[in-house]
Amino acid sequence: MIRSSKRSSKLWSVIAVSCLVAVAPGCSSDSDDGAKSSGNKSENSSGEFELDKPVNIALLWEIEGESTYGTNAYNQGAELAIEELNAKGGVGGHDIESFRIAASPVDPQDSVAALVEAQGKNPTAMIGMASPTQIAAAGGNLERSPIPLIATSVSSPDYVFGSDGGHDNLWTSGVYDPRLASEAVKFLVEDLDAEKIGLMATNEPYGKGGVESAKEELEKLDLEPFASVESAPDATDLTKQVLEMKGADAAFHWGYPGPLSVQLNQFVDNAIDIPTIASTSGLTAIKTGTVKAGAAKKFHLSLACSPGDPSYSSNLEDFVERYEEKWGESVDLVGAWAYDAVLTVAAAVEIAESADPADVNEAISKVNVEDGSGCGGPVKPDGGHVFTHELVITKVEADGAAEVLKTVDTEPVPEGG
Amino acid sequence: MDKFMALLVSGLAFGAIVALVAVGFLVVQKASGVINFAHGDLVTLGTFVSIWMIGDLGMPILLAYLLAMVVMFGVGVAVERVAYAPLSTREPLTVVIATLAASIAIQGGLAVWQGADAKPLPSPVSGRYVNIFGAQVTEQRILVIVVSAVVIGALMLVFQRTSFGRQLRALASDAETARLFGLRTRRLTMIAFGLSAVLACLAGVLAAPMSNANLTFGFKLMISGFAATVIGGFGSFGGVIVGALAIGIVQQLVGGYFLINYSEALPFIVMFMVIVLKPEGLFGTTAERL
Repeated sequence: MIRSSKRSSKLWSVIAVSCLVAVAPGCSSDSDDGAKSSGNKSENSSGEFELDKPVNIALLWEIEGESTYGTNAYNQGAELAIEELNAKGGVGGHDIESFRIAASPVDPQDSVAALVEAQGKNPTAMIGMASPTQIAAAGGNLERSPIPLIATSVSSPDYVFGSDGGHDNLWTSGVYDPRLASEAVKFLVEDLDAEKIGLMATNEPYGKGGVESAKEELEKLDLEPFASVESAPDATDLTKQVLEMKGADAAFHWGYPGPLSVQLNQFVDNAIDIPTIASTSGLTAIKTGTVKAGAAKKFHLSLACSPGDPSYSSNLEDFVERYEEKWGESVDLVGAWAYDAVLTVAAAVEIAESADPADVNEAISKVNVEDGSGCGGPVKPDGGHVFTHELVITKVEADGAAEVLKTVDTEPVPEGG
Repeated sequence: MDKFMALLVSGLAFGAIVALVAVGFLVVQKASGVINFAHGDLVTLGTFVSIWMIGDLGMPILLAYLLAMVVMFGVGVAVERVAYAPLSTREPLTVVIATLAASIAIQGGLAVWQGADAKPLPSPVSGRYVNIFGAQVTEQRILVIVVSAVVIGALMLVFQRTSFGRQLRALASDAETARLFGLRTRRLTMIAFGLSAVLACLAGVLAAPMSNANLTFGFKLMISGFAATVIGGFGSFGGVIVGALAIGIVQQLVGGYFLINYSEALPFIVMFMVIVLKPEGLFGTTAERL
């Protein structure tokens, strides 16, 4: 009797748990319902649209102190944009709100967790994911909800809209990276008369993608790479790779700031006196003070914009001034990207007259910010979901002094890249 | 020839630093029987203490290095008091986990104190070079090789010829018997942990001027040091040094000429081969305390 009683008790427990599991999905997630019900609009007496609740933006990045890669630049750029928009009355009659979730640029699992957590809070839009590694990892979860993600990073063929890794609700506020890489190579060949170009990169998607683009451009110019070497993103000794560059006319280095500063220093240590061109990581390498004086004499960067020398753009000059006034420090390029991403969300909400993520996502493609962007150039998403198309070639010194040598207007990126 | 010399000197310098780290490992392992997984973070901490003393306190470089080592001796003793002594009667795995916790705590504390950006460490021989068979070599690499050789040589003399060294070897051989013979094992262990931290600091201040110091700087050196210990054989002082030099030479020379993009993995491939062919290491014996 007792055994039978225990067995039937267990059976009822199993049935009860099974019922709970079957019913729970219908009760727990309200992201879709929430997305439809949040940000409903009405009109005020002036005919301007009003939202029933504030626009809420999820910020997905680490800040200084949270890891080796944490920087305050993204947060400061975004907060400046939010503060300025709110000073003008916000959007839809409310101040813009935001919340931040730390997302490591080098830990894919952490990025996925951060994205899922953000989606669970049902924001209007998400901004962040600073590295291609993060975007590639987190991208698979974007389809869980219509909430748009504006990646504060360069765009890559791996996830440009229309590619296998692209998504309807994934956008990038930076430039298309292959364009940065190809213009960098063209500068070395056409402006510095280099023919033997050594390629260096970190052995992860960003570095490898840059080298692929460089090789394609060299092929178009009827040249072959002098050498092509890779290093780990956290490499602290590049003697082997640096020695491979002996005899080259110039070096192209696409990778993380750490190996880049080591390479510049070890070029001097090994008496290699050739120009190097890199991209956004070069700004970080310079900023950390790890590039020794004299090691950056021939250091160039291919960038979406150059806050270090904003004289070529009145928009950028103005942004740099406002940023430095608020934060008391010079602006980092990625801060400008975060700023532009917030501007874009606000503009999209106004176009859609709704804070519904699906409506906002659709409206992003119609955004066209001509003036007042952080990076200076127009913000106009294209078929590849890339926001900006202007880039600059800059010469930069170890103390951070920068000089823009040329600006390049690139074509919009088509769907598929 | 110049490429060969540059890679050889680079390999010897890297091997010398790994030897310092590995010997630090060994000292703690002999004294306590455990692997200290906070050792890499002690390398990092010692480096950042030096950077702080030079940059923020304006100390002369050599004085900062020496004072940093004094500070790190204290930190090593603190690690022994907190992560080892209270758990010394427990299973070794418990102590290992405690050292892992210490590692995380040190790294977190460093991130709050010094931030997450990489930082440079100046050296007394910064920007100076010598020419060796056509290769321009930084004096820093020569300094690394010379200082490491002197320190390791001195340590070998201490372990072989001094009372402290004999006591440490007795402790490593049989802790219980050593205690019964009246050795002050607790004091020995504290000194061993302190000495290990000093070696970690020395490794850090020698290595950092050749690259940069960041929060994971010491961890990579620790992994290489661990591999050197496995290759040479746990418990074998000479074996560990051979293992460390092998790692440096394989990574730089072999990696520099052949599998350049996979050079960082080469030492660990060698380590696996040694484990397969001679699990106790090249110079280890099977009866070592784990």
